[in-house]
Amino acid sequence: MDGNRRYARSHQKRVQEGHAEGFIALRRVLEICLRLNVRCVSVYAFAIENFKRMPEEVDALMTLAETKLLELCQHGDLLHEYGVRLNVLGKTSLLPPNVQAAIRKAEDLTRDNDRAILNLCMPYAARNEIATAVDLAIEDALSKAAEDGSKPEITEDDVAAQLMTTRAGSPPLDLLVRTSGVRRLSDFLLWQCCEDTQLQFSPTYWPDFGLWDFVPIILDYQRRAWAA
Amino acid sequence: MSWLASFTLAAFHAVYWLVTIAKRLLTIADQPLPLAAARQKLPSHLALLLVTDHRHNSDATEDSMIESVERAVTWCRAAGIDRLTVYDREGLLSTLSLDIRKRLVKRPATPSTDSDLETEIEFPLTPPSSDDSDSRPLSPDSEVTPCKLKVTTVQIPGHAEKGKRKALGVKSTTRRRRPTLGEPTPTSFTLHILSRKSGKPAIAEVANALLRRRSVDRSSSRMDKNDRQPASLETEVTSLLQGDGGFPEPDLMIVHHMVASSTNDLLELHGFPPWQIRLTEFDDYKPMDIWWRGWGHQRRTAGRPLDEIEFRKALDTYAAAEMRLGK
Repeated sequence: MDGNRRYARSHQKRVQEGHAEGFIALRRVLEICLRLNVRCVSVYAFAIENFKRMPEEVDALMTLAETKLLELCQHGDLLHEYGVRLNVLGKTSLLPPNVQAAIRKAEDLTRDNDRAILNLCMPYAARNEIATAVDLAIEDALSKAAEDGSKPEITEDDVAAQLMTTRAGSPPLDLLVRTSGVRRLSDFLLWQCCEDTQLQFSPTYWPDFGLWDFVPIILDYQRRAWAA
Repeated sequence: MSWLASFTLAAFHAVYWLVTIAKRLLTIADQPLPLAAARQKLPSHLALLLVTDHRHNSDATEDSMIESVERAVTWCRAAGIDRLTVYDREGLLSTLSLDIRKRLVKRPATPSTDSDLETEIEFPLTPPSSDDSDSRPLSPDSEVTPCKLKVTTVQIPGHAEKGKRKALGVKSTTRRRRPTLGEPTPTSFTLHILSRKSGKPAIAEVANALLRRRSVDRSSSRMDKNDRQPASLETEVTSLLQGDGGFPEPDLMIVHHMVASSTNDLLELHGFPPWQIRLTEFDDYKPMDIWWRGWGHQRRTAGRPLDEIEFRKALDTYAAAEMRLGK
């Protein structure tokens, strides 16, 4: 979801308004995905590196997160309508306590939903996720070895099983879209997307992203599926 | 799906196909900047991902792949890039690393009268991964035992170093015939050869090395159980994967399909090592010939090697890219 600030600047708006428009775009695109029967959507809402930004912007984003999280999970709202379970993935201990509380409440509200999954990655960094998974895999191997006296050994599948997305019940990643014209992954889902995930880079800024931008991406995905 | 829905979908695809072809035809006249042109930004490390169709590999494909690597090295040096990583999923390039080494070290970087080149050949620092041996040991004071990262590194010497590095953006001197006094000479070049095993399996190997250390530390009660920090773990994993025996982060990646097919314009990473591509820029080359080559029986071609237009366009893409790094 890249491009909120450039969108705001190009419309002579404040950066915070760009982020607010970005949330509206998230609802819009999420609904398109859910109507298309997409089972799992992961969005990069906030990178661990983004804490480096101006404090006013970070504070505004935290406030936005707190209010919108609960809005999204309310009875009658989008997640409830489509049976979507919300997972917030990332190093959540870095977030202010009020946001952490909102996250717990939002996750509780949607815990029993089972038709689809929304992974809200914040604050997230793929390398942090992989390092955490390695750490968990090491501890897991050590405790298994302590139990049955075998020699501990870690495979790539052991690491994959400890990734935040796997632990949240997410299926393999089929398609990754980055908006605003940037052609990089920027520490997002590196492990998950390096096999046969289709990478798409859209030039549109995130708040402007809609069905018109999404259709060519879906057509490309179908083309690839048929060619396989 | 009903026939109406199928028909509508087919119509969508047909329109999309026409629009895309039209867009590409309009840009066909856009020539990228020459190899040695002064660009705003130049990658210091380029990655080349070769996509092969494992059902149709042949000796001719292998030759095309070696040809691609050779061309990439030549063009990198001409453009001022001194580190290249080449990757193919199955590890064909790793098995061909001796051939690649022979061809690259035999060719002088510049046409020159310097006859000392032959005597300056350095033998490779790491054995080919097919030997299944350990990579070079890490720094002497590291507590972690070496891990098998399956990365083959080839150092290609430049001429006798005169202590001057080629400045970025300065016009390449490799095309001149006589090196004159005070001119920068071609620097040495590093080539990394990778396969899928250099990626996720290598991360698992690093995990095993850290596991062994943690196990030893615990049993000798050198370390408190709660003494582990994912942040410092991240730094450790980086230094193990990107240090000696590994390879650093590429700035730019070119994905080249050896075999033409109709979906060559769609980007996938084919198992490329995930840790090092955090900030890598991906090229945007949309070849025109995929639209007719892909259909029918063209798949059994020998494979087309990397071409210069593709290479130069990628450099232009990189020069135009903005890096905000989270801020």
